[in-house]
Amino acid sequence: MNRKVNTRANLTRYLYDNYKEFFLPFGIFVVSLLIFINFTLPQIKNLLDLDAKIKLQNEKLQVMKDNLNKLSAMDSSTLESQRTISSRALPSDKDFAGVLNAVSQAALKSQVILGDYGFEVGDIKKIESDVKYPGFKLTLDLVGGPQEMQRFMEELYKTVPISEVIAVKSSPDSSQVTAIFYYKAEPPVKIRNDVPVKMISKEGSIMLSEISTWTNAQAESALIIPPIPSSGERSKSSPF
Amino acid sequence: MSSNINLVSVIKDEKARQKNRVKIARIASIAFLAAVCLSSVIIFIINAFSPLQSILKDQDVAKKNLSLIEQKHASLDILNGRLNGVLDISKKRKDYTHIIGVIIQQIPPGTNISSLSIDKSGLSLAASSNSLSSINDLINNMKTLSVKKQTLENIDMDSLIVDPPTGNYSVSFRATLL
Repeated sequence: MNRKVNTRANLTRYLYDNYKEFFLPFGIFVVSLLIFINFTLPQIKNLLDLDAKIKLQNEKLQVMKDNLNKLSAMDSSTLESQRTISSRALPSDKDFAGVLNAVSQAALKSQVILGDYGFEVGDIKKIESDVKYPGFKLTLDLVGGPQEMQRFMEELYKTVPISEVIAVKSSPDSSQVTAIFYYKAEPPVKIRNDVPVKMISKEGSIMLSEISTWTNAQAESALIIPPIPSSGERSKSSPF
Repeated sequence: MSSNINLVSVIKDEKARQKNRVKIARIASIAFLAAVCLSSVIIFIINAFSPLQSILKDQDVAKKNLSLIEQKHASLDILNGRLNGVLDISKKRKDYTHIIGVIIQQIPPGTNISSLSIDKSGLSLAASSNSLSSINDLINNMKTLSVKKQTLENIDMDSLIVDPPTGNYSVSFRATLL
């Protein structure tokens, strides 16, 4: 045991005596290596990525500047009125008053007498966000045959809010039209400055000018809005 | 004696070589340290004076300016969303007015539409007339419409009824929408 300890001590002594002058250069080398690994290498990596980073940030800056120019060039009041027009065409919730006014305006313009009507609404507060374009059904009785019904439908398609006639029945004296009135809940607006702002498309502009010519029942109607019948229930007398 | 002299010389040579090795090791280690430090400083300076910093500053200015017109951006997003919705619905909705117009055009004078109904499953039409010739014209018109396949297809004649006391003819059709 003593011999072993002595041998190890002797070896250490021998190494120290012969190589002690190398300790300082070796220490400096190790420290230099640590500095190189921890500080220099990451900076070199940064430098290599710098070009790509500059390019990316430059592109983002360009997008921001473009967005700024485009949005600054837009007139706030025009934009707001366009938004109002489009929101009337496709409301964000179940706009019963708007629908009733639209129906009565379409009837007035097509010179058709309305009879009974019935909503199929469901939960009036519930907004179906899982459906892309939710809507509620309205069944209307009209006095008149196919031609009157056709005139009424033409006017209804040119009236806000947007609707789709899904079924019609007609006899010489009376007709029935079933239409869906659509709405769409407003999703939360997520504004990202580094994404190019989407301007109104050509198709959108054409549609906007078209819906701005549609009858806006809310603006035109001076009618008294009749009380809304309960869900699924048909009213007993014509409100129009 | 000569061997002793030779031994001293060997030891001296060994010490000189050792000294030389130490010298080389010291110079190499200091050179390496200097190279690492110098390269770090140079790279730091390049990074610090790169145009990236000025681009980031410009971005901050642009972000501040954009935040002032955030309301416009939001309005534009909503407007686009609504317009896309209206476009989608307009494209998918069926134009029953056109179908009714086409059907009315096929009705010859002296013939009345008894009933007309259209839904997604198709169209059904019943018409009546006192004149067999008018009913014949209607059947021919519907046949032409079926061949054209522009609005309706698979037009079937459901029934043709004659009521002898009144002399009234009734015909009914079924068709699927295109």
